[in-house]
Amino acid sequence: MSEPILEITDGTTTISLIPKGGNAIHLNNWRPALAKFKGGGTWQQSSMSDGRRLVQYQWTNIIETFDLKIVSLDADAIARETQNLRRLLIQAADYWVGEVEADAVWLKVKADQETNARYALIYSWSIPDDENPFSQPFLQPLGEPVFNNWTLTLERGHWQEFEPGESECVEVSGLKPIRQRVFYPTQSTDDTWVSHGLSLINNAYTELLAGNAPAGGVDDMETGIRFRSLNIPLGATIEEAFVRLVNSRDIVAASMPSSLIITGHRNPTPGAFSTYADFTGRAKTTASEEWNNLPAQVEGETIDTPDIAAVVQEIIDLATWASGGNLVIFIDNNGSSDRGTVWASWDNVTYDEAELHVRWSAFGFGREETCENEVFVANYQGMAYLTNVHVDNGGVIGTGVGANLLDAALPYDLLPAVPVANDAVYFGIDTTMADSGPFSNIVFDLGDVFAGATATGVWEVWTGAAWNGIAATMTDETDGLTVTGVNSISYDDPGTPAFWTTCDLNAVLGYGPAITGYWMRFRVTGAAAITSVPEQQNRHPYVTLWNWVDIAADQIEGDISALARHFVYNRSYRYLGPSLEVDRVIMGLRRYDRGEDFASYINLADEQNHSDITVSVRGASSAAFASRVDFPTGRYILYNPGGVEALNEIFYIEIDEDLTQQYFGLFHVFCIYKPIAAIDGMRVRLSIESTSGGVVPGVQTYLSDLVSIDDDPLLDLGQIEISPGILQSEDYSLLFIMSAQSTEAAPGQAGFYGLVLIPVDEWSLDAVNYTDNDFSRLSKDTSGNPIYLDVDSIANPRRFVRTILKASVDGDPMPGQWSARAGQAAFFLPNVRQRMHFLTAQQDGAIYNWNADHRFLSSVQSFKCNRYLGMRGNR
Amino acid sequence: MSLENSALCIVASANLATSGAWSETVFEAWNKKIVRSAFGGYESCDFHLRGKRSVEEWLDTGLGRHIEVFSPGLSQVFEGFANVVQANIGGLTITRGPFINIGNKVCTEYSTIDWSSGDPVYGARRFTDWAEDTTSQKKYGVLHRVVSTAGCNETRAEQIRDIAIGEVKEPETSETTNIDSSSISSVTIQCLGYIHWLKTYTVDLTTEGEQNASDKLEAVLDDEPNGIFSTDYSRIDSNTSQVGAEDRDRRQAYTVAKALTALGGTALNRWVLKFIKNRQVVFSAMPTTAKYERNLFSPSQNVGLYGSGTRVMPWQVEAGQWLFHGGELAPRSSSSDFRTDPRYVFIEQATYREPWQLALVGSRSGKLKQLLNQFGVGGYHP
Repeated sequence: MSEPILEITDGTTTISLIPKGGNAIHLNNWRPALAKFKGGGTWQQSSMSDGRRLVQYQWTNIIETFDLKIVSLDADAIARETQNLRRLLIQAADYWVGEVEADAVWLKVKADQETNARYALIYSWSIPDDENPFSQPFLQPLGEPVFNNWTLTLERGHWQEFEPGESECVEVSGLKPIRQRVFYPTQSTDDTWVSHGLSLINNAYTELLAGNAPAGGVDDMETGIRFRSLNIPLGATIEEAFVRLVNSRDIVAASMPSSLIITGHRNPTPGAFSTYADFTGRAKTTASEEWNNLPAQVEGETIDTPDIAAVVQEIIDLATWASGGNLVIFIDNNGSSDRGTVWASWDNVTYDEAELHVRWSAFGFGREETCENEVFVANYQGMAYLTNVHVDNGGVIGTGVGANLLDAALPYDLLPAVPVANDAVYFGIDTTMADSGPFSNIVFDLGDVFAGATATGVWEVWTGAAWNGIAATMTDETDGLTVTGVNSISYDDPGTPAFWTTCDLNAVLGYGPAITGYWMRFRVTGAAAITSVPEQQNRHPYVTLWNWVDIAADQIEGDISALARHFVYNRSYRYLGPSLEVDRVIMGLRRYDRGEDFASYINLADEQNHSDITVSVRGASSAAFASRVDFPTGRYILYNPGGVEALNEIFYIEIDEDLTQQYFGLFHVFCIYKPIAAIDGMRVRLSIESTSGGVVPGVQTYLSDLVSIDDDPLLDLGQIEISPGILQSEDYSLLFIMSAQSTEAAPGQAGFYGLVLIPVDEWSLDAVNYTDNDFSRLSKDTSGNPIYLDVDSIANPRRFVRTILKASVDGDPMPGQWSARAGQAAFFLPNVRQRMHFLTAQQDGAIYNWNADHRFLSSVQSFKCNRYLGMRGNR
Repeated sequence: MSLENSALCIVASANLATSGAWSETVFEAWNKKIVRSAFGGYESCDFHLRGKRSVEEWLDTGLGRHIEVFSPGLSQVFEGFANVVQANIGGLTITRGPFINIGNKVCTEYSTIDWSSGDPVYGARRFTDWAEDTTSQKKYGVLHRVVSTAGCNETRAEQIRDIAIGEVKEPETSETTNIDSSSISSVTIQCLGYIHWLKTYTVDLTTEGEQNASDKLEAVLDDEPNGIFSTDYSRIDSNTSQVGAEDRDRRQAYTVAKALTALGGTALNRWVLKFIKNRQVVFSAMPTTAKYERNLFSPSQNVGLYGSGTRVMPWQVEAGQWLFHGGELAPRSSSSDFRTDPRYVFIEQATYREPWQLALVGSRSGKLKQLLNQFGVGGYHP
């Protein structure tokens, strides 16, 4: 173990309070003090009830008292020792009083046998008196004067992990590991049941049977269901899976099967059901799940199987599994005697077919935790992942298995080994899949790059009749796949008039995958003396689909919150390119365990939300779902009143009871929309209800006017708290209801697409650019280097939290002034997983008009300084 | 709510009536106090700063600054301007302001006087032309001031006006010294909500005939010379109580707005006027449902949303709303008449003080006041 330390220092001058290097100061005694609540905390109580309740607390500074002794060779030396210490302590106080005059002074402490030192800023000090120089103990017979019981009192801050101003990176991640989808059979022969007793198959039957039929019926029944187009990548970890079935008849409990067994077809490409022999000839998975003691069933109600994650996992793990494949589940009798159950099949016209619900982790989509500036944050949340990446090699797009690079092992080349003009790499999202849609960014991780005497290309999208270049409306940080490392492209589709359209790639090219979707390509225009082609190295290309970064529990130690610092970079702006500068950054921190499925961004669309979130339009309203490619999901809610219209509910978001508790908390709520046709006299109001009925009193926003700026207005709906009291029962769902009215004869049309709930009950910040010039905006410089916003509560201890715009090339401040609205210094919560949610916006004309375009793309780096109440030990 | 995120944040910006684009978060502020009223909305806000640097800065340039206070939830809980800056430096106390007493567009109101018949005969009340000081206007915005005098001729009235503008174009400054005192250097900033900005200008409404009270209110807001009020009148509900549209007596906008509010509605119900975020005005009938509830027996003593009990932070309680006192306060039967049920109180004023104090001043509300005002005998002339 290293030596103990107890010293006062400004980093240059250090005075030890324990014997060290021949210094004269000795520590007689010190009992380290602990921080307390200011004023004991704020309490509330009623004289008419027992006890009292703590409602708020903040920490005090800490007063430390050191009983010191100074022994020196002569009186001059002792005077010098005390002078040096006092000068340092005066500097400590001056640091707080002035703005630039002094450096901070701090305590550094480490006990004998303790691994790590700790640091605390000194705010003030006092030494009540010195020894009497004319008497003992100052005067000693041997001539070595002594200051005995010399009391030094310091007022300090919390113990910190580092010297004041210093920090360490926090590894953050931007990974959407859990995907949740529902899959269905899509044709009659996708589900069936067989009677093993009678060797019969019943493909077109409107019901699915399993178990053993009551006496006189068919025997030993088994159901098989083929679920279609599972876009689960090879290697994904299945977190949860179950089949949801709709009961097609009433059956009493006594007649229900006592046990069924669920398996899968161990085949990554199962065909439709045809004959009994086909059914029984299918190899089953080793993994199985028993389903015992099925309850009485009521016609029309749904029933879920037990978790069959292991069954699905076994199929997904097959070497030839490819994302988008089909998967068969069997439900067989398991010894039930004269008992059976009946569910609706695909052919049933009264009840819905079976659903396969799957939640899985898909590695490779996003960035695992890192300190590098590689963690991207979108200005929306979606589920439209890239489904296909294909290299076009002279008119041939990969043949057989492996054609889709997203199913290939990394690293892989994004162009042919010897590229020629018109070779290309295609990036697509299959829009026949659920929760698919357009995309506005792709993040690359290039090892090798496109290089040679001539190595050029263009980015293009399909616009209905031709491939069209998008150079004018995109930002390409890869500079034509010629820049190594993690970089993005951002695409700003004009939306109207219609530009990017879906296509069947095979139909358009005359070769390649017959997949209909949104396709974007990088096409080689010049390739001479090529020395290397772009290689995707550590992770697949991905679309940033989340507006948050995660911080793992082990990243922040300490006893209390850690001081924090964040760099927020703009990645989507390009000089003379898309006008995607940012003037406002809103951040909200939330413990992850308050709701792992909590999404601070809800798509106002009929897709791309958690399966327990349903967005619906009111049937009798002037609202309807509509499509347009420049919306984040490609879908939105069009409000088209056509004239004067009273305040009516136009759409609502239902958070299912299974998810509502994850939404408890305090939020600042925003709504994002686009003026589809110039808006005049439209107002909206958001209210909250529970399914118990009725608007929850008080929880509704003011009527707010919609504005008609060109882009994506951010409507500030204010603060709401969602508490258990709103629901009245945990069995009720939560409803966000949007009402709208039109006061003009020609009110225009509004397209609502996002509801943002920034959590504000732990730590939150709203940073705003108050300076009206181009250099003060969060953007990039003319060379393409990102400018970042430094949200800082560490580097300058005198500043609670400061927001400074800086150039990434040298870290120098940029002109302009950003103002931070925050109630607390930036911090991280200790020892818990946490998620920082982001919303960015651009000032649009008038100062209170904000544009929250979903195409704003940012990246984030974070730093921390842990804080402790006492000793650190080895933490 | 986490115990971490519970501090208010003050942002000071350049005076909105000037062309500055300066803004700063005032993290060191303490002892904050925010008052909201049923008439006015954001009424006032006081806070203190310590230290020589703060004292010098605020004393020098603080007056008129645009002040916003944000809750931990990033919601605005106050918006106004610095009206008085009071600094204590040792034994010296310097007070600058009130801002609303500054005048850089000044006229004199006087009565003509006729001496031709021996004794003075006073004529009609008149106004001189405005005199303006553009230097002061660049510094503080255009601020009206009408100096009233008795009988005099126009020349004398103009002389009074010109002397007056020289004296009121800069804020009043007063000093007191106590050589025995050695208080800590500190500065207190007293802010007013923008309802009080209505006191800085006079209206000149030339439309003739009668009009809705709400239309006249919009005209009053339109007359603000610096353009700092929101022109979004979507929260001004239609109040069809009829008032004279013309108003050329150079009355303070505040006086007219107060009178228009005092009229109430045609059903003699009370109306409230509030300035909210971004200087937008809410003008509407007083609510008929309770927004808040509070249980006298609860240890926490929080105000909650009526019905759900969802906690409302003390800095967010609005005036101009009904509060229901729950618990066992008689009468136990529910009543639809808030005026007669003692458990309901209409919040006239809500005062928050750091860290957690909330004082509510309540009232009943009847119809007589509105009726008297509509008859023109209630003390307010719309």
